[in-house]
Amino acid sequence: MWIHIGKSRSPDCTAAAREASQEALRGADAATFALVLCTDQYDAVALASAVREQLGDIPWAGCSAAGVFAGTELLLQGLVIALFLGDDFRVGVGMGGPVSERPRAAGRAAVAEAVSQLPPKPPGHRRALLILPDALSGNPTEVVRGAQQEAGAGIRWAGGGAGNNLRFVKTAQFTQGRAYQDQVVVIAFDAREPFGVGIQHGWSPYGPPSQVTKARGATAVELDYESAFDVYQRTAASRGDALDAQSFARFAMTHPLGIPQANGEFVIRDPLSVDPDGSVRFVAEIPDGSLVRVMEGKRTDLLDAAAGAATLARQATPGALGGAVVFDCVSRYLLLEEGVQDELSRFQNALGAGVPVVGCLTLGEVGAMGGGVPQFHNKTAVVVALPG
Amino acid sequence: MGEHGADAEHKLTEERLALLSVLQELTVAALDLLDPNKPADDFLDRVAERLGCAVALWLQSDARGQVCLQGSSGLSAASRQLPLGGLTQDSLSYPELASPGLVRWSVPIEAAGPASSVLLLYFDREPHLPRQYRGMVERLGGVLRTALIHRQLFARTLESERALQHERDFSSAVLDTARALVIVLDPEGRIVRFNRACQEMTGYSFEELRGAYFWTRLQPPEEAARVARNFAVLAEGRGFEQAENHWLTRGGERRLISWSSNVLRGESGAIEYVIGTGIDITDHRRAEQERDQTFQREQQARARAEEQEGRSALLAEASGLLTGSLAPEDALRSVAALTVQRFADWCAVDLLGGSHACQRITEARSEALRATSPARMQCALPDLNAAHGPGRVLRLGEPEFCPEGCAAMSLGCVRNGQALTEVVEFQSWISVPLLARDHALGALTLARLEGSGPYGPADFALAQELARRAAMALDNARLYQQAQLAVGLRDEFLSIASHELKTPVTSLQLSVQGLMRLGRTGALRTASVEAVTHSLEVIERQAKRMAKLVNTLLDVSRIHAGRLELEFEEVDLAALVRDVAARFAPELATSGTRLLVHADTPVPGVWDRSRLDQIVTNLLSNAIKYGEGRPIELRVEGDAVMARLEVQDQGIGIPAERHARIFRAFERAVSSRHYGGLGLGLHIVNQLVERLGGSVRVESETGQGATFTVELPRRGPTASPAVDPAVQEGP
Repeated sequence: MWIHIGKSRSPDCTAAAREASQEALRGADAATFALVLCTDQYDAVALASAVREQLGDIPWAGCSAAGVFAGTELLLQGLVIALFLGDDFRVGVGMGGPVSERPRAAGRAAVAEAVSQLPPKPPGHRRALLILPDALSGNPTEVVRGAQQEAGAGIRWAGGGAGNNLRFVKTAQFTQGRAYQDQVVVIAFDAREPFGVGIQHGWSPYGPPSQVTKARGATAVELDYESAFDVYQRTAASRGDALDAQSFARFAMTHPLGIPQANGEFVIRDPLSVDPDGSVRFVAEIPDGSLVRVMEGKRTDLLDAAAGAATLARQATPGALGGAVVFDCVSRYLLLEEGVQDELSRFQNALGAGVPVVGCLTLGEVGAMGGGVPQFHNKTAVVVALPG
Repeated sequence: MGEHGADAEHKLTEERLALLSVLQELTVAALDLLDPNKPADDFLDRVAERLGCAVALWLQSDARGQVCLQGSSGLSAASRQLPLGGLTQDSLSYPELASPGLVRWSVPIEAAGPASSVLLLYFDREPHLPRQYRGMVERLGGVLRTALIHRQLFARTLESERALQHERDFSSAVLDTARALVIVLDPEGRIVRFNRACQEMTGYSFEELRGAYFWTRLQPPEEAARVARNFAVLAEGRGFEQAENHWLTRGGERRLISWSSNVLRGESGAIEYVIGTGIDITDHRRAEQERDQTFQREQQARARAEEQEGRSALLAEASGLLTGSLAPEDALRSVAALTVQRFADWCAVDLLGGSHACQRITEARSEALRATSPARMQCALPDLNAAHGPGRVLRLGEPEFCPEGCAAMSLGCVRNGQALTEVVEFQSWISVPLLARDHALGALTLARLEGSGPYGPADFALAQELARRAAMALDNARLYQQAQLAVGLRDEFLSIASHELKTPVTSLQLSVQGLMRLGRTGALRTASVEAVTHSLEVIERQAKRMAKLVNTLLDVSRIHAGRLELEFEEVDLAALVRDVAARFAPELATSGTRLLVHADTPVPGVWDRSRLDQIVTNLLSNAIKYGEGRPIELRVEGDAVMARLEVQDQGIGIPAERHARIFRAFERAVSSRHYGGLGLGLHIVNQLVERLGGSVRVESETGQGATFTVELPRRGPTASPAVDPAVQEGP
């Protein structure tokens, strides 16, 4: 398995599709599958039509994102297409939805459809599922749980929430040559060699733990029997930061919540906004009863985490790599700013020079941190190393 | 070293915090398991997420060792469908558990009873977890145990509630399926249940009436208080289990409900509910009433038909009696007897006599009446001056009908009690006139006692018809009698007329034969003139006599045929009377009768002289004939309008009862054997006087002579409205 990547910065759908496709197809034999990632400036429907025209019979899937990258080149306006080549793997694509209404069922349906398109898994083959939910609709945590419930254990999980540049207006999911909203797309791979998946974030807790005393889905209503925002304010004050509703978004960008795991890791939850009653809305579910921590991230830690994720992925994939797919949280880019280039380099370096890397800046990430069942994460980097 | 120690402490603190957080979170998540409707999969997902498990299973073994999957995380949908029968936790064959190097944590969850439960956690590799997590997981197992117990209890509770609800639904369905009205009330009378039949019948939904006192919402206002009182008695466990009352529907319609009520007692014996089961009998009752009414109408119609049939039979039988007898009074008695058998308790027939006197022909009494007043009952003759009753009917010729409750005193029947005389109280009576040719011949009176039923209009009509037929029969019988009498008179007249005509004829024949014998022998020439003259005078006298007889008969014939011609002229009645008196001088002399004529003052008038002469002649002739030789007086008087002629004799006189008959044809007051003549004289007088516009009357008693008075209008029949104009004008 190896990938050919094509990219285009053209804002025009047709041109972008043509340029990216032609570059990807150049020198490539019959492709089995194409992963299509684009920024959100495009008209998703027109872009899907253009890509469909370019790729012909090649099945493809993907999503929109705040940014896409090919190797270490970040495109905040552009399209990347990664052609998956080789005969040592099989691909199936499924879609489920609407996730805003039945997130768990959507996850299950998408996995079931994707797996159903695969031939019976030959003995010794490994399965990997890339899951691309609409992170602006519904509860992506439940989407992932539904996907896991359908697929079972023994699978490498990765993925990222389709997003945009944090305008949080709309996202697009691509499959069957068309663009959709409020869906989850699952790409299932069966390959002879395992897909290595690394997942790290680099965030650390500070301050006292706060118990989630009242939560409603992705909204923390109360922490320690006070409004969640009050706790946030107090925590910020302990660091000498004054915090109000207007400045919350900026503060929250660098101060997510961490949900402790037994293995010492934290699942990160990205705050989005403050409601009038002091509740704080997050990108994903806040578990009731847990002792959450306000997290902080140092630049170096984040970059180290990126390298760590890539390293873990590389280590989990034996032999040469045919490429890598990276789902990197858009908020890391917003935090690192131009330093994101360093992050992309760290990915590349850890994976190895010359390994084709394609990726996007996502709104939430999917992976099994430290093993076990997959979860929906925030502010995290997920690297999938493709066996060559 | 100190920095290292601080890091270790920090690490330890973080570990404890993580441990606490995971325990807290999973314990909270475990609380959801108390709800058996919440899938255990969600909880196990949390466990797997926080602990980093690849697979988390919750297995439940029953008393027979059968294993079932309570919940799982990390099992595919296909794996969860795999059968577990006969497996143990050590021999699970899920593909997800086939990966090499899986590390399993097994946490038993002890449950009450023989069933056992286990939480199995599978890690990809040996988990790098602080050692406390084993203890935490075991503690979590304790939470799960509690949760399991509650879950099972809750499940049983839910199952019980479901079963109960099912039972309730079933009961409700049964109640709703029932076509009968079923209402359940609390002991205060508030509606607790109200089945579909009730809802459909009243138009109210159960929710609209729930908790309402049923009599305030469903009972008509005038029944509410009574129903509430009855319910209070019923709610005390006493009486009124069967009742009928009305319900008022939402649309205001009244429905009659037949209720059967029972009480439902709690364990303490106290009445908890009152259950009413009702049937809407409105239509049924209405149909019953209509059927009863129809039956009654049919009964009434049948009774009327039978009564009508009875009346017809009575009429037919009565008609047979009436028409089958020429003795009407006997027939009336038979009819009266028949009537009291079928139609009356008392029946009387009264007939009017010639002088409007009343005669009771018959009075019949029914067996019932005779039983109530044996022998002592007496009924007076009708009082023709009475305001009510048969007397009034006889007087006015109008029927009188007392349907019910009128005074029975009008019938005049009394019974003699031990001390007092009391009126026989008839409940109802009818008195109808016997009318024939617009004349009341009598009255038929019928009466019924209490208990025989009052007379109705049909009975009244029957009585009238009966009376009509009786009157007709009576009238016919009388006409027949009159006809018989007339035939007898005619035969007597013919005999008289033959005799009267034969006498002169015989005399004529003798005289003529004598003359003819003289002629054949030639003796006529030798016969004396006196003898021949005598014979010729006899012949002339007898011829005149015959001519007079024939003229009389012709006059009667003309009168009866309406061909009598009158020639009016100025005539002095006094002079005419004197002439006639003079003409009768020989006869007066022969009979030795003295005639006194009081006609000195002229009484002129417009009359037919010859007919006026005939009137005076006939009256004077009669007076001489029946005057027995005693003096006769002729008197002529008059005023400006009328002339009056009076002929008075002192002869044999005329019985009063024959006064009306003497002016009829062929009638005579005495036997023709003693007094000759055709008996037409007075009849002709009467007819002529009438044609002249006057009248004639007689005043007489037997043996006291007779006085005939003729009154004539002096200006002729035009002065009298009674005159026939045809006669006045002439043919």
